[in-house]
Amino acid sequence: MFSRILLAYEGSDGSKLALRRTAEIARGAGEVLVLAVGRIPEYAETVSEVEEAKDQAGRHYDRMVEEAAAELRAAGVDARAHVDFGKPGDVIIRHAEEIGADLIILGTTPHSVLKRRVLGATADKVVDRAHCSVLVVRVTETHGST
Amino acid sequence: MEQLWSGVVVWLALALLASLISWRIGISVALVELVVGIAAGNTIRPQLTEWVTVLASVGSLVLTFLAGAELESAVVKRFWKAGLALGVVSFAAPFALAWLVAQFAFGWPLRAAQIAGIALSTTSVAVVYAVMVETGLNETPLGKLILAACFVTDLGTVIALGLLFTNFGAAFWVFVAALAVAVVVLPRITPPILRRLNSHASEPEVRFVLLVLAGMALLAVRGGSEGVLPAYLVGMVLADTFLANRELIKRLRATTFALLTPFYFLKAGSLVSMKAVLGSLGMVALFFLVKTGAKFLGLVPTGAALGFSRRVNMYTTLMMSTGLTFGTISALYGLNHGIITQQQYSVLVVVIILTAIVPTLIAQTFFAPRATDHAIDFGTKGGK
Repeated sequence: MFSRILLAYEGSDGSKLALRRTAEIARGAGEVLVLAVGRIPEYAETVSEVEEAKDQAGRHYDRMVEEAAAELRAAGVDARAHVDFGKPGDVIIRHAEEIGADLIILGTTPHSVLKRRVLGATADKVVDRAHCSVLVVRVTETHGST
Repeated sequence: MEQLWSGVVVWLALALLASLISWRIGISVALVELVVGIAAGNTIRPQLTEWVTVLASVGSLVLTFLAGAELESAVVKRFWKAGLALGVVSFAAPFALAWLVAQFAFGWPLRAAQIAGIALSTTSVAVVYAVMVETGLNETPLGKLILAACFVTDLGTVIALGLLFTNFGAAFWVFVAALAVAVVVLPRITPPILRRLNSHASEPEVRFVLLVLAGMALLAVRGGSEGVLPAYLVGMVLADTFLANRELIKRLRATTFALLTPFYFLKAGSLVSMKAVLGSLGMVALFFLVKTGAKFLGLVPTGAALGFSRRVNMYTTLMMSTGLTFGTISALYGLNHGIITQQQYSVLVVVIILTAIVPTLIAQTFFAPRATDHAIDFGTKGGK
């Protein structure tokens, strides 16, 4: 049904559930891009500050997304991994547009109302602005997905 | 001694607080330090002692050096024509307009108005770079052109700050001669020195850089100039050496960010009087419009002449309207030398903070270039 899927992955419980859902949906279908987004400081003081944040985020996510992509490949899904940098919502939307994704899958963990108001939520932004369908896999209090 | 340590505790607590906020919300620690400094300066009023001034001054020097050392010479050479055109316009238009508005609309004295012009002429290379990384633009010819142009703008700012308030006496020419020798000799002697010192635990390379910067700053100040001018130029000529030695930049930056720049930005923020700002909100708004408006007036036609599409042109202009570090350095220079009052300083710093945030948000929200825009090869249009 879906030929090109973007899975936003950051290793959380929500992401791991989203990975399992992706394996179910994408098996025998199209290809999957497993994308992790490392944060870099906004309004940076020096270029090297940005470079260092990229290095640290790269080290943190490189192996994680590779393992997630390997898990999908083991389940018979054509998957590749990629790490990029910036504000997660914006970067997810940009990559989804660039690869012509017809589905974005991401996991989410419930936030407090205050945190959601102040910091915003990546899932909200992606649902709001994505050009394609979005599946939000939510971790519930009983630690299952909905 | 108790007073000394109570001062140290307060300043370090503010530095840690800024660091934790920055870590939590993902915004650069420099901006957070400025805001925390403003909050502290208007409430608990931490003492501005001699040692705070020393740490802050060295912090601004190293920060300027790092800014100069951030762009490899190949990028500047490849995009020098277009970069020079955009960079000069990006500096000159807001410098002239902000100067004129400060002097003739607000009645600031000539030298104070010049400080306003310099402080509002800047472009923040680092702010621009971070945004371009998010859009993937930093690796494209367009991204490199924008960085080269930002670099030229900053050069204009440090030259103006270094020369406009100088008396051109004998000591100044001694400084110029020493600077000329340094820019020729340092690129030759620094690589072998760094290889020889080779990451000894006592960090001799970092000490070498600090000594060079302090020595050049001494000559600059004696000559009636300003330490940021040699720091930026030395950074420029050593850029390739340092970019080939990322580990050294990392260690220098770690030293600077841990112990020096927090004091610089916290101090710069603590000197802002919110009472003065609230009493001058109209001036803040007008200066903000003058800076961004002047960038538009200068950069949009230049970008169009270089063949930018409308979207790319707007994005480039907004990006080059940002400012942070050099703006605050210029304003603080004016305050420290009695050229501007605390009220004028407060207005300028708040405008600078606004210019770091507002143009970036507008550019990212409405004008982020599309993938097709990235493919434009400015090498064939602007430089070789």
